[in-house]
Amino acid sequence: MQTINNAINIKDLYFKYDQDFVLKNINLEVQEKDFLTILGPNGGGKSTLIKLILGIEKLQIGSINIFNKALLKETQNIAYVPQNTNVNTHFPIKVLEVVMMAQNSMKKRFFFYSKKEKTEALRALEKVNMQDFYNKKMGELSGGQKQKVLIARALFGNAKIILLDEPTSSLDILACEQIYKILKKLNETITIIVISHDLALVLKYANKAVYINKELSFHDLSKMKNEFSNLNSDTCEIELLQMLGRCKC
Amino acid sequence: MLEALNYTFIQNALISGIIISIISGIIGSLIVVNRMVFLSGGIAHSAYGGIGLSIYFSLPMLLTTSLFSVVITLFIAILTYKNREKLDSIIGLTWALGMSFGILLVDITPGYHADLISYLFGSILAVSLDDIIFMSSILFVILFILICFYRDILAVSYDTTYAKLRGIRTRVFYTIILLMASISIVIAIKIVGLILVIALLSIPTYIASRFANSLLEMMIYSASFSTIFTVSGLFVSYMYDLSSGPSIILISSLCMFLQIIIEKIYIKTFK
Repeated sequence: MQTINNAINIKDLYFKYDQDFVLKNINLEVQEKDFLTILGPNGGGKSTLIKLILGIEKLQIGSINIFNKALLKETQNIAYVPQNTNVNTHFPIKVLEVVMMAQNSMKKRFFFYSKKEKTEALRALEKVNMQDFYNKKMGELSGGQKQKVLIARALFGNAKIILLDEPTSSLDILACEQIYKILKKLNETITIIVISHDLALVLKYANKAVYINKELSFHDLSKMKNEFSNLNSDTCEIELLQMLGRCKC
Repeated sequence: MLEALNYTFIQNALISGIIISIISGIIGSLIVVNRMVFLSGGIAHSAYGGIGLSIYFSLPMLLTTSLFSVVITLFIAILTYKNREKLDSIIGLTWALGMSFGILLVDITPGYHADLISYLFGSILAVSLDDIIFMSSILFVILFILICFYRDILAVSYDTTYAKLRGIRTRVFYTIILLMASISIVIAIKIVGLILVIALLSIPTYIASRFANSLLEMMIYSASFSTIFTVSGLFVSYMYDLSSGPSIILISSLCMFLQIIIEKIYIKTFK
């Protein structure tokens, strides 16, 4: 029988920027090949939690282990996909360059990219069906295509965990579906963690959910299949959160 | 017109013009993609404090102003790295403080300072051999940094958060970009003056951005356009006895408008 390991283990985490804690008593276990969605109101601490997992913010109280090792030793296994809107759309850069940015630059410098790097980058683009766009300028792509390129960049570094911060914000429903289908396919081998407000959509694909509003509540969505079977894009956020609230899992 | 090339001051002007064009092409691209145009305006105007210092203490102008700008830039970098929302206020502060400091120092320096105007509008024809050596050294340093760290600079400029995650020292590269910008601005002041320096850094870059597919291409195109504008502006100023700085900027601006019009016509006709 195949053993399932902890991908992320967060214990007794507290964090504050100024005086008040934005995260309190956070305990969370994310297992390998989980598809976890992080829900919660704006200012509830979702992005702070992601920043702590990524090592962008320094730990104050508590611990985070990645594959049973301390966070700082394991950052290479984690990749991050920012919101498409956070990236400068007028920047003169080609798709392939964006993907190859995932290469640890401390090892690779100078202008030129090796043949091996290009092959690997093309392989990552293939996984998100963007191989035909490798020579295009990022600014010429649609929102959905840009997001796929950013996912390919995360794949290029052979990360075992991908964290996505609202990957489908400002995308139309078709593009959203495409992104989540790609993520679900990648989830066969990679742990996926998504912050999203597209509740109806993300709950269709995720197997676990956490709701964060300073404190965290955990929900195993696989035990709520019946409740979510009738979800559609019109289901409002409040209804869904109420469903999560009723869950005793 | 070619006989003008026999004069040493014209030769110096041409050489320095080409060096400055290459520098402003590279640094202008970095300034534009990092959205630092206002910041470079702040550095350019605060450099006046350095000019005031060099006049008051009779120090070499280019070196003193460069060092003064480096100090101001480090001050901006330290205060704004984590709080980019403070950037506007800090730039406004250094902009006004540098200029006021410079003007007061000039006020209390005895005598008349005719060359002060040249720092407002440029004086490419007064470039000395020492200035050219200084400019060449700076160009060499910029090229060295770019060749060694191009991919790090590209990553930091495009997506700072991601660059940090990949282990790139983003604070170091943010400061390096600012320092390269500040020294380049001080050197470019020699050519087009304090008031017009932003135009030299941004106009060729704007035109280049319409054609470039990558940051490297943008730098190469921008440096080429900048060289063409500087050399032609220099010859126009020599032929018609006009100020060199405004001539260079006027030619650059005309070309930019021409490019915009041609692009609009092309889009309407073929797309």
